Amino acid sequence: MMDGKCPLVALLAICLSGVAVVTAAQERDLTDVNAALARRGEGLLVTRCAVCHSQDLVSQQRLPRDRWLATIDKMKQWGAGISEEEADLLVRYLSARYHPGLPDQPVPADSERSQAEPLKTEPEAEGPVMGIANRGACL
Amino acid sequence: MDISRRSLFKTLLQGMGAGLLFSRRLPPALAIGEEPGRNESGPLITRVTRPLDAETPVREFTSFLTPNHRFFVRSHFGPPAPELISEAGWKLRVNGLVERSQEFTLKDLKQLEPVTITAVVQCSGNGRTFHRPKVPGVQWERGAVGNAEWTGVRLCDVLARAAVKEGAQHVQLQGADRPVMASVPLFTRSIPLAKALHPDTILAYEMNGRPLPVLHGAPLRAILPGWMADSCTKWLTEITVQPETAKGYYMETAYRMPVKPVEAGTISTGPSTPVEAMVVKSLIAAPHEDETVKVGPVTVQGVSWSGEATVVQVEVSVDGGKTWEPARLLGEDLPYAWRQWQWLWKARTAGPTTILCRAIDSRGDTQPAATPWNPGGFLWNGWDRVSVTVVA
Repeated sequence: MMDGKCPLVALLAICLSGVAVVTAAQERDLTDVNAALARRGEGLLVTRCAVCHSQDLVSQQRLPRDRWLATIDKMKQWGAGISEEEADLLVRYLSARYHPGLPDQPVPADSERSQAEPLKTEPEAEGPVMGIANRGACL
Repeated sequence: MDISRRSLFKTLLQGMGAGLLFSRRLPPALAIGEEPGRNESGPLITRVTRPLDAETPVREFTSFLTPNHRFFVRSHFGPPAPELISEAGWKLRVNGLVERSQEFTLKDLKQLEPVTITAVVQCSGNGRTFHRPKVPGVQWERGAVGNAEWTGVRLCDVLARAAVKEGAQHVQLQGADRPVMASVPLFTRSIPLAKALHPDTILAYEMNGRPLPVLHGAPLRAILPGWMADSCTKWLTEITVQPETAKGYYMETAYRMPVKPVEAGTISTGPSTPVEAMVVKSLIAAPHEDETVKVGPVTVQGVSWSGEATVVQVEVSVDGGKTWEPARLLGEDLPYAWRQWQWLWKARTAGPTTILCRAIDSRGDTQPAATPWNPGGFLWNGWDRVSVTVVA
């Protein structure tokens, strides 16, 4: 039997891996979206945001980081079940992915969903860091 | 106009076979297309799948009235549960600062004198996607607007039954739609008493001669001719007469315009007022974007309107706005409807051309090249533009 501390350890590990992703993303000047970050970001969109609205509302936005931060804060105030760590990850993902420099044409929702990674309770190896062509516009 | 109305009714009759409410084979949300934002040929272009936000392809605006199944849809939370809006279960409550709180069934309302008004209904965010820098919200392009015949009863007649008390200043409108989570603010709006008592402000139960479709607020929605659609509450169930503006997110934070111009891209903290009347605007319905036209005569046509004024002129430019030619205004000048216009372009040179249009209203307001930026991305009325290719 696993002891009760395992989930906590797992959560800590997820947080730490999140921190690692931030640092990596910052170092690359957010030119590319880390593939693992994209999968986790899409997973959070499915799990936390799509409770109230479809993801096309998210993917048509073209916003700088401060506006994404304000948007996630608003959603938390309105009751979205987003933890601090998840909010941080979402802001990083969304501001790297749906930034003002991205072309207007919305990305079809189906290809977005195929990227989603179900929320996990244990960490996994994130694999090699990969860039996504055109910062994800042509996924 | 007769011809366009006849053809509209024909379209409506055809449409009703696969109508909004009753067909399982072609419900509008599915008919709209599987790729949000990409389907330009369906009855509507979906911007948000759920709750549904979908706009009309602008080419539909060659007809005077916008058919119900092609009329834009804006949803904060989507239609209420069927039992809340079925004729048997639905009631309109009128309370607050009134002598006699009232409840009306739809049958009760239909005992009052019916009124029909042709009016433009437009989302405040129509054209939001053209603001630079980009503004958060549904990225509406040009088609979150339509012109329909609304039939219902005057709000002033309903309020007279309840007898408004002294001290009343605002009328709060609440629909039956509810968010998924109770912690999300309700879409609660209020309008000044003067607008509520205006004889052209109505509670509509019919749209283009048909019962109001569910997506458009069945069984009853407010129609405030000349004002933006955020005050035209759908699925209306409660009217509360109040001494002041309604509280809440949708009156105190959203749907507001800064009183003084703000620097583009900044978060405004200065004074603001609720979005109310529409601004002067025109759209090009034909030719459509990316169309190929032949050298020779090309009919350019579209629609124009203004909230609380009359459109007196529409002008077209094919040289990037250096020179403008007056278009011909068609049909009658109805106070709240849009006015169709037409201009015969003698296309002489092969190659790409951008067609621009702008309207001028009876107050002298002219559509600007671009609308001043505002944090909500509201009231876009920049020159409309369509790019075509002329071939020999």
